[in-house]
Amino acid sequence: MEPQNFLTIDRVAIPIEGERNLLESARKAGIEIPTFCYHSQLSIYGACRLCLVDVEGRGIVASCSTPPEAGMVVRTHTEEIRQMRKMALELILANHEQTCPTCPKNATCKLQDLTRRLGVDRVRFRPTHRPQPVDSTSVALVRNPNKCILCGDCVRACDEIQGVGAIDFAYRGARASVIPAFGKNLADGECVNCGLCASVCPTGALTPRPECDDVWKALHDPSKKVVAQIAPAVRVALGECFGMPAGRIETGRIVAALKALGFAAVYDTSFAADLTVLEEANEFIARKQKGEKLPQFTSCCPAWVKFAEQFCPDQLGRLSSCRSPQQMFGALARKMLPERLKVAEENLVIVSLMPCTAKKFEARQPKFAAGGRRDVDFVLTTQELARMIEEAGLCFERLEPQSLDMPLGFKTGAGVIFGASGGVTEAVLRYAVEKLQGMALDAFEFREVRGEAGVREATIRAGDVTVRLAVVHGLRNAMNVVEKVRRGECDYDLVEVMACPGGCIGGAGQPVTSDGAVRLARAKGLYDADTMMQLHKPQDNHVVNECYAKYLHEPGSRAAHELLHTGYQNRRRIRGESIVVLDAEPREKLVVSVCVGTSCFLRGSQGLLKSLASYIENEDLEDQVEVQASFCFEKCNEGPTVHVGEQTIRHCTLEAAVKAIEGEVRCAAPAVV
Amino acid sequence: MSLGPGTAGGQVVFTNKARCRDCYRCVRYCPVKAIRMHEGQANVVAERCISCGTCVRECPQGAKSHRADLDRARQLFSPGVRVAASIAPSFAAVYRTVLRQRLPSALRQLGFAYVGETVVGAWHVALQSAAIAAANPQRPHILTACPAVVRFVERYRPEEAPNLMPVVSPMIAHAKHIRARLAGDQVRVVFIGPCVAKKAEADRPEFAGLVDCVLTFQELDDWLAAEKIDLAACEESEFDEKPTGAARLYALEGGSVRTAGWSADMLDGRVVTASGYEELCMALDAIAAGDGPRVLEPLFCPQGCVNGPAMPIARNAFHCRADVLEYDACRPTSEPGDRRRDPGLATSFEAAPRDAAPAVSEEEIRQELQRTGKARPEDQLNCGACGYATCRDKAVAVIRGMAEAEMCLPRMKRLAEQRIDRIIETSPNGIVILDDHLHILNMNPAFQKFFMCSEAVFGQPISYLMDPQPFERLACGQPAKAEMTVEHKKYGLLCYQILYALPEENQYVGIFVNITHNHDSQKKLDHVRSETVRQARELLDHQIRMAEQLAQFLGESTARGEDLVEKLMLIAGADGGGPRDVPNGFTVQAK
Repeated sequence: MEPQNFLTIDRVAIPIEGERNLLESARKAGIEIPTFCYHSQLSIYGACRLCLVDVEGRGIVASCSTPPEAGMVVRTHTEEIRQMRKMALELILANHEQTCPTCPKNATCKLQDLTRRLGVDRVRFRPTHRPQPVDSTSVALVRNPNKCILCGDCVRACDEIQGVGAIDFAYRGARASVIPAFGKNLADGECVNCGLCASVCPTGALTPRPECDDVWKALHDPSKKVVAQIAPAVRVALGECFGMPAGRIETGRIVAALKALGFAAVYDTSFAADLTVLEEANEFIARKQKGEKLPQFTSCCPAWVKFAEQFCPDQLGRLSSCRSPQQMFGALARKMLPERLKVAEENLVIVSLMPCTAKKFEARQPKFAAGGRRDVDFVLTTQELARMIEEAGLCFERLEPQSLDMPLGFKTGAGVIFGASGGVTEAVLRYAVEKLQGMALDAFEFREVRGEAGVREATIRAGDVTVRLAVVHGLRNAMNVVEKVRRGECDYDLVEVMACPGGCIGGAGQPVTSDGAVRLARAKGLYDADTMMQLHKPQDNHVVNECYAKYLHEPGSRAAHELLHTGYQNRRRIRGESIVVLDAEPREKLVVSVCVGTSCFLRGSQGLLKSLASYIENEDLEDQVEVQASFCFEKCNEGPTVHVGEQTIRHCTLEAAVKAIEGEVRCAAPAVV
Repeated sequence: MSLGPGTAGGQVVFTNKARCRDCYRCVRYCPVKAIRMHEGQANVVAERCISCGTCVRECPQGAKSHRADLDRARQLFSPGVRVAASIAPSFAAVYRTVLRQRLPSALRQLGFAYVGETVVGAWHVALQSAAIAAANPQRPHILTACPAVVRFVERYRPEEAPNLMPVVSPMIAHAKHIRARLAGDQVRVVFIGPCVAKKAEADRPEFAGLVDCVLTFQELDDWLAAEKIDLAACEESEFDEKPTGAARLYALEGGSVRTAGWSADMLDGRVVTASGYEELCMALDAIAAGDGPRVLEPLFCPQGCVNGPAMPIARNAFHCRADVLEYDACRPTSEPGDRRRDPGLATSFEAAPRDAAPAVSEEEIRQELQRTGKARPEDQLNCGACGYATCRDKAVAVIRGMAEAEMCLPRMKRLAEQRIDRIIETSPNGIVILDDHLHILNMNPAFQKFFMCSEAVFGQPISYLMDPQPFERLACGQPAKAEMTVEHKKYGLLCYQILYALPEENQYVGIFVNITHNHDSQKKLDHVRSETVRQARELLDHQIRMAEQLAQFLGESTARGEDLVEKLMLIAGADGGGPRDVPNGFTVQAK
């Protein structure tokens, strides 16, 4: 035992094995130091001041931001630390709306838990909390600033993992708060509804928007027939809410519970996933053979779709036009089920059980409401389903498993693995490789696309065709891949993007956990379920094939396009064409665009535009230069932004713009001077 | 002991000696009397056993077990090998309702590459059997999927062996089907069912290399538990193939007949089903007599395979039957496809009588009966307690070394009673038994003599004879046993008595050891002993005194002698004065 590799925490020698900080060292030693703001996958912030420890010779430090050093002597609890922690919690509580019993986070709240653990039995400070309006504009998430403790977890998750930055700190001191840009509503900002903020929020400040009441109402309406579809990831996580191990496949009990709640029939989203694979794979094969619109990005993840619509509208043509399995199911169910279940079309209520908050947004897209009626009426997250089961008083672990209803409950293993990152790719390969090779294969697993890493690459050979793949989770990772595609630095054919860590199994609607092992167990549950199935390739799903025979003809057909495909919209915040301010003869001209978006406007772009226009007039350059007022270039923090030809000028001044224009004009026509 | 597949006659049923408690139930239920009793232990004789598993089912001690093959099954799984599972149709009665469609999932999770119902093979078997019967209408046919029936006929009814339908069982047919379907030599087949005899069938040399391992449903359950696979937590899925026609009913009495397309009318005399040993024997007798049915469908277990000895749950066979019927009704089967006969399903069965034990003469039987006190017909109870139907059968078994004389329970009881009675009768100790009211129930002659009573005291309270207090304390529950010495002055009796309760009978026993005589002789002995001690002490004193006087004399004479010698030396040594050596090494110092 070499002493230099050890430190002492609470009189116990702990080896140093690459831990990033004392908090991780203590966790390894089985000591859970209280913290709000520390998440292993996020950057270290050191805001909550609860993780204080005493280091001999240094005094009291935050354990999350102190790296372990050999020979350190650390105490995680001293009388001083104890008092300081209690004080910190009391201060937080004094500024917290303490309506705990009615809070959606009640009983799963970290603030509640730490208050209990640290024995804070009263708050000695005068309550300073002033009520703020709750933002319930988003269909996916509810933001309740009254519950926020300013730990910043959501801000860092949104920025660091998803690269969205929909929320951030604003104001200073006592007025500090976490809000969307310009104090807008969550629904109006760049939020992609992935819900990662809600899954890291220690309190009830950000929570998935519940739809239980709507579903209860439908279930209690005797004229309605309510049917459900279960997403793959739900079955391996719901049991956790009832004390069962993560990854246990609970399809049978979920069906039993739903039937007990009053659902008329329970189907499997995996069925629709099989359908998705056939459509998406055929689309891919067609593009691959023509060599166009590659790489094909998957389109199953609604958070990714909104992200792409907002931040990479130039890539929308590359997105698969396939609807997600949830929406394919909805469209097909609307067509098939009224007749099968002998129910009037308007009385069929379709509910999805999803691991996802973004699915709530997706289901409410006008494009998925043929004739004004949503294809999927309501979306319940895994957490909401657990709450409904509890409310109904069902003893989940004692339910006798039941069977999914046919035909839309029949699936192959391909449809089940959709819930794990890499699953969609593997499912597509199970079909596409056979099709490209023109022969059936015995093996069905493509283990090279499985794994945990945020960006994974693989190359598959199918006959004489080589397919290059990328599997991505986390939207910041996705953006990096998009940038590489834009720069032509990669030659991927197919890119799978899932917003949530680990894919849908790590979705924000799942039981909240910060334990990476839980996610691995859920993924294993899905791959086990695949092993168990009789069939593993979507093309072997006879019910899917019957649907094609009866309703859809063949993958990619007109009927299939009508029901199963969709289009995308550019969601740049301000949309519209550029307006020509100074025009001249139709010749090759230098285009100068000045952003007049809000941010640049505030930084004086309007004045810049005016001065530039008069400069061009004064210098008689109208025939060579065209000045446009343009909308956002997405460089708001560096405005005002001006494009001079191909060149982008940030923090632009008149002088800088003139210099650039002169340079360009001189290059193009040196003779003029 | 080699237990590998293909070892003909490899034993399948064993006795766990530690658990065998000589109840003879296995002997009684073994239809072919293949159990040898030796020194109170049951042993299965492989040469006689037909592996029907009846003793496994019947043994109340769980002392009979079939060969455990789980390890062998596990070892089949290795890289590059595809292992197929063939599931017997009775599974529907074991894994009921919601678990049925989860069984294929669980098996795939164990690693099976193919999961199918054995009855996929049954349809072809039935089809071929029907064709053979149609082509040979002149003679009877025994149509059975049951390896115990086949083995029984081969060994014990060899004259009927030619009537066995020369077609393999559905298990073998399915194994062949799997091997054709999966192709390649890296295929292994595991059959999982409710049957012990299938383990022996798979070992038959003519089927070598077809079924690699036979597991029971219980072994499968153990396997799933070991791998922590919970059927309830599995996705639902289908078997890899659907069977054809009514083949799922093969596990039931009448199932083969239905699948083969014959009438299943129970009152049609031409086609008869028989299940259970008794019905089987009667049906075979009828065929032997030449006026039996044209087609006999026998199954060794009553109500068929759903009542097999290795079913993991004890359920009414008719409930199991209902489960299988329900499963067949609700699951689709595939359309009859290729109706051509599959030549790969032909096999042949040969008479192989093994009962070649030496003939037993009437004289030997008479002697054996006499030895056990059954010479007269009226002494032959034929009670069956020994496991044999008659005393005569048992005598034959004893002569052949299959049974032991001590197995006759009435005789052993009689002997035991005689012995115990004699012990009590002749005991020198008085013994009395009291009922729960401490009234005398019984006593022995010694007790009567001690307490000077006759049988007239039966029914009287014990207080009639003695102080009842010790018995009353016993009746109060404490203690359970008492030992004491009591003087019964009235009878001039000193007794060491042991009293104890028989809690189950609610009776009390008193044993009285007469130590009156012991008491008197002890007094005499004590007197003699003290007298002897006194005399010994006198003697000792006397001797000490004598020794003291002797010592005194000796001292004085020594002193006198020394004085005398001194004088002598002075006279003799007048010319020199120094010390000098004297003989014998003594140094004498002159004074």
